[in-house]
Amino acid sequence: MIFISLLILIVAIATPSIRINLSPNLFIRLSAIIFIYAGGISFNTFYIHSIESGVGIYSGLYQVTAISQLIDMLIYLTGSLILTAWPIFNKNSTLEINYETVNKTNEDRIMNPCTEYSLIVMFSTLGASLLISSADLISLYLSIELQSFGVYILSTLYRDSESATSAGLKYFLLGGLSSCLILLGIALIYSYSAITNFESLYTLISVLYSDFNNLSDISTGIVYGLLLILIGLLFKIAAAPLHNWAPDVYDNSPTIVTIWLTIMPKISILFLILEIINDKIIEIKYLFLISALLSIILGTIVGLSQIKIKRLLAYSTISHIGFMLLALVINTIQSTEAFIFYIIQYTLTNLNTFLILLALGYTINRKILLKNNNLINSDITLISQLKGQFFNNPLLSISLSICLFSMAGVPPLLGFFSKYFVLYSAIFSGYYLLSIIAILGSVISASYYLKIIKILYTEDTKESNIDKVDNVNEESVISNLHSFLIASLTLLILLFLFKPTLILNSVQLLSLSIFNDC
Amino acid sequence: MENILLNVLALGTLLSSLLVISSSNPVIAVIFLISVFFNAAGYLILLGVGFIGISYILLYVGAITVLFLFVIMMINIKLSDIVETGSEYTKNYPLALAIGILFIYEINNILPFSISDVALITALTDFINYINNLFLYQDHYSLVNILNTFNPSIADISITSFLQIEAIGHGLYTYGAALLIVCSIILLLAMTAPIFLSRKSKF
Repeated sequence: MIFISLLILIVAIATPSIRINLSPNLFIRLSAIIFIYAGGISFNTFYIHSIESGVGIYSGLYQVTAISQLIDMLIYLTGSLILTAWPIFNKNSTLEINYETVNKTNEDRIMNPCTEYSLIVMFSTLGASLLISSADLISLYLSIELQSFGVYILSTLYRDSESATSAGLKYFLLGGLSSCLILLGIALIYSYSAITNFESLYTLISVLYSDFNNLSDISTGIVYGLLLILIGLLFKIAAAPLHNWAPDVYDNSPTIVTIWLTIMPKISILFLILEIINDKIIEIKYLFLISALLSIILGTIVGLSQIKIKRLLAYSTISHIGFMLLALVINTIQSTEAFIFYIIQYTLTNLNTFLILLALGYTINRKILLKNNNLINSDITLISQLKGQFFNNPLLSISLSICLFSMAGVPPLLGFFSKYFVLYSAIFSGYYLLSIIAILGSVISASYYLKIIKILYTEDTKESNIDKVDNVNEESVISNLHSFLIASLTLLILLFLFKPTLILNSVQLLSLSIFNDC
Repeated sequence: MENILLNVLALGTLLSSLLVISSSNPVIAVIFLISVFFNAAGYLILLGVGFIGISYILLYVGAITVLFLFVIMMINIKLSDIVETGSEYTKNYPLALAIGILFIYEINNILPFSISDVALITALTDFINYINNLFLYQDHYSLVNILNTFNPSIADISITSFLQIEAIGHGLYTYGAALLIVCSIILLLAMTAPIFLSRKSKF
């Protein structure tokens, strides 16, 4: 599977040479189709029966299991969905050519960064899917590098804007630091045990911890190595004590990149942590508990004081990660189920929220978008820009509020169930204090979601009339697919209540399959 | 004797890496970087990891740092700017101290350290031991060497007698072929990305 996607990727890389013939629009669609195809292939592998217990490929460096395949599918599908969020460029450029035929040439259209975007996105997706199925420390490091290197470049892609460049540089430096930590941890483990394979590491740890009296030097070396690796990974997913870079980077990079940054690297790294985490080492458990606690608290309380919407969403991401880490640390069948469900829910809701934000940005700043093809100026930065949007585009703002409600965890929506599962498993295994704090945190965070919704629905009396007049005249900037996607995702969030078996059953089967192995 | 040399080289690496960070002139910093690489390469070669040591010298010193040097000379940064930005970062000294102490504590926990590990202190006793060895002991290593030279076609020896490069290549092209492919993809990304980032455009 991985190899086939790799081949597809190489074909896709070969295409830039004939890119002049392809419009960027077509290129984006092509890569979306590639993603869907790769997802289909990874679905196909479920027909192989031995996949249930996991198959090691490439001399044990990578391992294909049912769970890695499912997450591959999730990643590819969300990747293809994100790619559809680009506005239609053809229409814009024809408009431009109509307006000023002399100045604008075809070059302008080609120079738009969306082709690069889709290409680099493919690189980083390949890294992500390799990361999920990696079963060796070296392959782990290499695929993390592949993934995050793509992401750094992604955030610098709009290099003409100062903020995006600074975001990319910051991301690059801090990501490099965390990679160094991971590498140091790997080196420690290797120097103490000469082991890089996960399987043999598990067996070694379980042998070492079978009698608690006899903890030798080797075990301390391995524990500290694992701790360093996990700290590096927590750095990459921006969990609480190491979260400082996240709001800056997310806020400064353009929204279309932020979608990718908030969703894709996190899925793969979280699942990697699920692979690595081991119940027997107490220090790791403490590390995760502290990190979960801090990220729930910080994500909710610091989020209250934000005025920029992407910063706010970044902090909400941090609190979501706190919940996921909480589910990870409990490490029972229920909690694993809750964890997988939470990740799926998180991707869906976050994807939908950012898609809606993009759509709102396109519609609000339509003029800038049409004139200059300038995407970065068409982003929404402040929450106050959303003021009174309900009266201009009611459907979009209704779906945005549904999303935010779901993030806050209001009962009939998707987000409620995921939080419910996590808390249920936490209470079930006796983490009372943490679950109380998590409940309080989600209540507090509900207030800032509600703040956005309130701003959305209060009318801005001065400007709204002018806007309305403008809106009637011009045609829509959002592509059909984009609006269709928003609609279906919102409906999915809303109507999950009526047919929950589809996601829940598969998630349950997956968590059972994990625990059968152990 | 070799032990002392190793320690000197390690000390040289550490010192010159400190100087890389602390020197205010970037050109001098790069020159110290070269000395870091030389020391590390010497350390590796003395340890017997000859291939990697040589590739250190060839790649890092020969290509990368020289490139750095050229770029820095071309950019022509004013020294005063660097000094100013440097003084901003000194505010973070307490934080750096805290993190550094934690880190050293952890490393100290992991690595078993005793005074007898430092070769400079124990050099005298080492020397006496060495002389004792010369007179009293029979050297086992030389025996093995003799065995090798006289019976070159023993099965064990012929299996294990890879050159270093051969061993690396054998591992890389059979066991780690997938890793090699992933590395090549990363390299491809690293080649295409600067093209994207540095291309002239207007959007």
